[in-house]
Amino acid sequence: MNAPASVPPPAAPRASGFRTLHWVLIILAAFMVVAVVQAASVLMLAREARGLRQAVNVASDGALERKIELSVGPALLGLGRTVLQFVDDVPPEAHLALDAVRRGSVGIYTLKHSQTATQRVAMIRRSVAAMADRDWVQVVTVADGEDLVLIFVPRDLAEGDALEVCIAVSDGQEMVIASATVDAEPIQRLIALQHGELRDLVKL
Amino acid sequence: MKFKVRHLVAAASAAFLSLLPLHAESPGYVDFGHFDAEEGETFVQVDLNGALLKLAAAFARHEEPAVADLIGSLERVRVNVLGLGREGRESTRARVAALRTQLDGAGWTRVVTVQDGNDDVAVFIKQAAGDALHGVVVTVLSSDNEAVLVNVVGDIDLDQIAELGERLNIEPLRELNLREV
Repeated sequence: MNAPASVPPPAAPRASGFRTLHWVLIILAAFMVVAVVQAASVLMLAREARGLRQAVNVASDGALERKIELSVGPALLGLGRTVLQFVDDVPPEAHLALDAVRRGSVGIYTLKHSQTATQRVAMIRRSVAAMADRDWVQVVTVADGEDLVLIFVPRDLAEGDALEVCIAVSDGQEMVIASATVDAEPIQRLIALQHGELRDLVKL
Repeated sequence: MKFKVRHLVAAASAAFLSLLPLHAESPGYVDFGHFDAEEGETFVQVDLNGALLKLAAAFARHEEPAVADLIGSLERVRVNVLGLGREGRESTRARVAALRTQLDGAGWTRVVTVQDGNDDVAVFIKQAAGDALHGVVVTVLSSDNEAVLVNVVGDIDLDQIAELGERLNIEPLRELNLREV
């Protein structure tokens, strides 16, 4: 009945410690991956804007030279809203404006060589086709001299939806491509607020 | 008997489906067809649907409630401005002429006809019950070598036409008094 003297001590606490460290490392690694992806996505255009840029670039024989590309998503905007809560004297308009934006993406490009009339027409056609493939439709198209304006919205945009919009604007020297998703309700409140203030000023 | 019922159901379904396209678009809607930008010529196309117009109305509500009501009652606004270059001039003129003929024969009323030098303007309305309109079509061939086509679709009151012209910057509608017409 005597217990053998050479029984090894239980290893359970050591294994548990290893498991905890293991999970901490996994979580840290996951956070790092998310942080890297978030950081990288800040410097990339959103999907729709990327598609529009690609179409324009092909039609212009690769004339787009990137100056800057920036994107802000819900995480960064949420962080901005949180930070803004702790800052004094921020006008309510700024809060409402930030509330309105869900995500935004903008790219600014230089056109390396001037575009021919044929290329400008090709830009319109390719852009319309590329966006149609993504189920977006053109709501505004303007081609006047070297000026070009293209505005697209989702085909199935319904009343009450957040407004998604994708635009390309060029003056022949530079091109801006942007996309954004905004909530209409905070913008309406913003307009109401400004209108209320204007009325107060008139009363004074 | 079973056979007949099946045929009746099929015929009723076919009749129903054949009616669908008629109701898919409002009676005030006119399909201008597809226009392509022509090399070196001005090209403008604006095509606003109901959701965008409702949004615009909501934005205008606090500033100008009457304008918001007007915009909110619209279903669709389409504007095409086409520079008439040498190549497309005749075909565009022919398309505008064909469109006018089509409207004349499709229950639209031509309320304005202006031919002054090289300016050629025709305005059509599609009347609904009472003082309401289903839609307005403006066709212009201007001396500036431009063709302008406008289709405003919605529940439009006769008295709102001039306001509509003012707000949407459609010159031929600005001084139009349909009560006198």
